[in-house]
Amino acid sequence: MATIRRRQFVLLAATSAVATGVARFWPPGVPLAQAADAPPPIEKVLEFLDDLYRAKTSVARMEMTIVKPSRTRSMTMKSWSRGMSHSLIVLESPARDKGTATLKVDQNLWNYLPKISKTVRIPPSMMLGSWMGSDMTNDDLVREASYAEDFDSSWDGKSQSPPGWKLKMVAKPGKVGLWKRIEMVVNEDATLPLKSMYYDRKDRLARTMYFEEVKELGGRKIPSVMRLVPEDKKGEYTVMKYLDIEFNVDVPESTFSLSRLKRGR
Amino acid sequence: MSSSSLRTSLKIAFRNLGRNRKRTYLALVALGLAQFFVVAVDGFMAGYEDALRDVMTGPLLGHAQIHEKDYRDERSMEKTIVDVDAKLKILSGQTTVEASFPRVFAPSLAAKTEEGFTSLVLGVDPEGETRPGGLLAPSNSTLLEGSLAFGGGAQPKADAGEGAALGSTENPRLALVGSALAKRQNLKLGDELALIGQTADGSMAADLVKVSGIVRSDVEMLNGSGILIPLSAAQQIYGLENQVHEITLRGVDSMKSEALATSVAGLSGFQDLEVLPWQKLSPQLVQMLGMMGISTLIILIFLFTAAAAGVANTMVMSTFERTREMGVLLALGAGPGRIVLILVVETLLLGVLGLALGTFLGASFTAYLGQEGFSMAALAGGNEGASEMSVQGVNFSFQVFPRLRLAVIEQTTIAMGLTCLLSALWPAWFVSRLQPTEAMRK
Repeated sequence: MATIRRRQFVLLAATSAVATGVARFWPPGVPLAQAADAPPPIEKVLEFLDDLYRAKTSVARMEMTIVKPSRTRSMTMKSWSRGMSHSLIVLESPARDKGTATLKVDQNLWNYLPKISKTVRIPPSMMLGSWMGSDMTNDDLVREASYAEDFDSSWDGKSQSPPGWKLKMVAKPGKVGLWKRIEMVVNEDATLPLKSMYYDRKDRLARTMYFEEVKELGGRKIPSVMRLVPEDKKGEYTVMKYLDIEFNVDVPESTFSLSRLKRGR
Repeated sequence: MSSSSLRTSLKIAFRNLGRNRKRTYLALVALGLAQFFVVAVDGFMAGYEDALRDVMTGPLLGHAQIHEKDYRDERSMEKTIVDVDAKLKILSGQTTVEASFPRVFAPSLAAKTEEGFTSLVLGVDPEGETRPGGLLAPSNSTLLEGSLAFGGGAQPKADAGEGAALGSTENPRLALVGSALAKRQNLKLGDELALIGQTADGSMAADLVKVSGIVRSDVEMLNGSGILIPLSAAQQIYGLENQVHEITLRGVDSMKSEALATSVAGLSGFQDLEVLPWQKLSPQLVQMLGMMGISTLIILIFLFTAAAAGVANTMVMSTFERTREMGVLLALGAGPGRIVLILVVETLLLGVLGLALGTFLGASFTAYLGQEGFSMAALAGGNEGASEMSVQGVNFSFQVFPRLRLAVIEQTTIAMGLTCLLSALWPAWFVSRLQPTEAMRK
């Protein structure tokens, strides 16, 4: 009896070990389950979404295009990040804006203007103001919200267009933030976000984010284009395109300093 | 009715009134006093509304404003009036336009140290705005420190590199800041401020300015977040060549603003622009003045009703007291109509005399105050701060110059006439029913 039990135990332990190992080191982007009539476990999906663009560190090159009825403007920029708390974005083009930078450290945000060699911290009153004239706000850059932690989420059935699963996320009470509710559509196997609708505190749709052009970047399969469309502004939207990303490369903490900015990156 | 009978009735009415002098005088005094109050209060309200209108349509709102037609929706930087120089020239040739104030509005992040604060950068004509009706006119603002001459300052250096600031440290751009802003952010003369905003085409606008003056303006918004820079500087920094966001107009008379707006809107070059008088720009102000008008009216109605009651009372009393006499007259062959006529004439006489008395007193009082001006501070008990009032973001401590309005005299005359006729109704009815024999026995 003892022998049988021990064998069973060992078998159980081994299976668990393998399963744990598999789950822990499962490469991102690989579906945990096949598409079925039931969506995958929600907790995993939320964590996955949270980590989609994050890493210990990252270096990326991006192109932002701001489309307005009167004109369209494009900028390219390079960005460095360390976890969620530190990030630096420096414009590379157009020439007249080259060197303009935004530095985030925790909840603080600074702008650097090479034209006047000045660094200025953005006051709380301007947090909801547009970042670089786009449809993104300063607050967007600073916010460190986590789908898994800050929202009560549930599956909301299937979505027809785009086809996938609907995810409904309601901000937990007591969490300070702009969005009362986010409704997201993820693809069939819940590995890619397709569309996110953001609802403000008065439950009005404020903007929609579309995730497009999935590419392999930095070893991950992710949407390389994010199109942010504000709800109440006709003909206006902002497109953020990742040209390339490297995850977990060496980014020293000294990168994220104002004096560094002034001396020139 | 013949004129002679009218004249006789008049004589009789006069004499009747004279027969009970005390009562007549009392009625006259009551009526006169009420009318005096009515005229005086109305005169005061007229002056008050005038002052309010002048102040509100003062520097920021003006009498009329010109904008690109979608500008006021969101005040976007790019919705500008173009070809401004040419337009200002056309406006200066118009006799209805006393002054035009071109302005650029550029909400910006400002910073003296590293800590940024929100501000509204206004590009204005430094000399132009000191004219009556301008933001820097002596009646609208006080220079607390420094100088109002901030028009001098940098022109962009010809050899400035592409990334260089437009001003320069040797010859910096000058700026005036609002007193409240200066206090809150600890800004002093000579401080250098970084201004960061957006150009009309969306790229980053940035420059440095030097604080050359601190002003306290009647316009609360200017005090609290305003940084004034020369118009040409603003146009350069924010990428607005020969463009502005707003041209504020001042006409000759703030009451004629609608006509002003219409005439300017018809000028060549202005047809695609939005030109609105203050009444349309600030309907809340119109509402407010309207409500003040209504509350005044209610007060006046009360006052007047009291006075009219006094007259009516007098007439009714005197009629009933003279029952016997009227009986005699009836017995002598006078028609009831004749007696009613006398009553009506008496009432009207009372009314007219009282009205004249009150109007005369009220008009004199108003004229006197109209010269001297009535200080609101006195009303508030002479407190330092209480002499200032704030309406819709504009502070004022003003002198009110009461003014006689013909409308009030017309209205009270008509009202009095009606009251007299009405108050003669009851006695008239009474008289018509009189039996002479019974009456004579009373």
